[in-house]
Amino acid sequence: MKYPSRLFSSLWAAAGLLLVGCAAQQIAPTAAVVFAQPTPSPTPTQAPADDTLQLVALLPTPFFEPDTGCLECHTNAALLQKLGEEEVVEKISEGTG
Amino acid sequence: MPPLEVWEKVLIDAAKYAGDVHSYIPCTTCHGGQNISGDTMEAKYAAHEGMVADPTTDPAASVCADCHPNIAPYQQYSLHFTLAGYDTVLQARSVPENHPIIEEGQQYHCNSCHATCGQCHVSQPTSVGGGLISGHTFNRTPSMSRQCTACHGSRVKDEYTGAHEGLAADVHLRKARMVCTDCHTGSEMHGTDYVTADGPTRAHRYDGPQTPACLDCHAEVTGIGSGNEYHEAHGTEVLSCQVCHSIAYINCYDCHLQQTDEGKPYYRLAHEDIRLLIGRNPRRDNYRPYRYVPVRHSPTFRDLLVFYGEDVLPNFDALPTWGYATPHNIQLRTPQTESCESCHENDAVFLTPDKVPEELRLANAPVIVPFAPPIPELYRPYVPGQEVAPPPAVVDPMDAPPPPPTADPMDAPPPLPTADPMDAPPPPPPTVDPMDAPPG
Repeated sequence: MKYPSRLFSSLWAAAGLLLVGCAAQQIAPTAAVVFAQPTPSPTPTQAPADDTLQLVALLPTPFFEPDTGCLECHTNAALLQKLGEEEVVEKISEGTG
Repeated sequence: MPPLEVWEKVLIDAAKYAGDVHSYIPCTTCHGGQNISGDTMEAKYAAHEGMVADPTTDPAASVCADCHPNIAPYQQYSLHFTLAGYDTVLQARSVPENHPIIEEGQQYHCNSCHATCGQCHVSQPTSVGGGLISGHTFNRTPSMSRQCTACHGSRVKDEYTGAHEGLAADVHLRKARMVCTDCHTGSEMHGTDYVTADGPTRAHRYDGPQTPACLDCHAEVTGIGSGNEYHEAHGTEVLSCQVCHSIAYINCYDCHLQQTDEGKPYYRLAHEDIRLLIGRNPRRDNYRPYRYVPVRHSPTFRDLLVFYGEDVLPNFDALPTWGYATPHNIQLRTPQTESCESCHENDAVFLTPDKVPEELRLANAPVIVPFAPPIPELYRPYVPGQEVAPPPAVVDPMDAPPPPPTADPMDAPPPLPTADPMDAPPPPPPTVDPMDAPPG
């Protein structure tokens, strides 16, 4: 059987290219890489166990009724801004307690 | 950090806060006051009757412990709350009968820096005007810019962020974008990391173990066996890491505490400078065994509290005015790491007697370095063709014998304080005429 020489040549060429391509990944790192300082990784902060939700779950339902009277004003930016200009906020925000 | 308008300080972000578990708790449960709505001024004043803006100011009445019993009760021992470091150093320089005067001065000039639970987790600290930082949402981790450095600004923030002209930001910020809480843990902040027989309390921030310590992350490159020539030579007990890896930092001098005619407290510094000086370790113990550390001048001076009374600090010389320092401007390469000669035989980087005014030399005797350590024999640079001179006797200044007695008794240095923890020999007399010493 007569081997197709052109086919073998192409295969050898492809194999060669493949080897060269792989070898390129093995080239020694540049000086910049060698001398780059390692970046320290921060120590993760040890967070305390959050048992808040579990505790809240034990509370009686009426506990969750929001103080709508307070929130009416303190979530209203326009109103607070107006009261701020009138220096009302400054007078009462520190409370009397 | 832009200042908040007065109305912004009390604005609750309804959308954000709804996602916070604390929104389940009625406002009046923590803040007191009355749940009253109404457009009239009478209604508004009535709603705020008995209201407490920061319900965590008084640890005994703090509501945080109701749900956080493993953390909140320790707040009262935290240095952030007690400010015990001030008490420790001021009382050591004073006498018991003057302690009430010191207390009065602290009330006006120091206590605004108390940090409560709320001032780290909900609002800005009171010392910078207070105000909710995130619409009353609670932050488990305090904000570096709006909470930590709001108080720790001139020294920590400016050094860490490289705010001083020509000085780089700390490598931990530049390379790793680390924030305060990456090193300073919650247990350190809450005062639960160091428990003595007297309870979980510190009398000074340098009491007990180093928290944090450089070795927590860098143990493998530290000391003998690390493979680093400098680290091999100095081990882990001669120099603190900051001696070599810090750059110049701010030193403050002579803080004058005063009040305006309206009774508003303020202070004025006589002067400040930016430099690094290496001194003897005034707090040498098992946790900080170093012989040399960077020393920073604190703002204190003999008449610190003169506004409140004469001679309030009669034992001023009991403590150095140059103190143990842990600058927050760490660098891998610094002027000190350039060569052995950067420090050895270089008096310029040491707190030598000539850098301390004569009237402060007694107080600073525990930290003054008589002269820079000589270069060890093996590190003499070799010059081809030159005969190698016999090495000089290596004398570490820490082991130097006491100076010979001064001829004129009037010129003799004053005696050392008896409570020197280092039991080290006293420094020699000043190497320059005290009259030529720089003003202090």
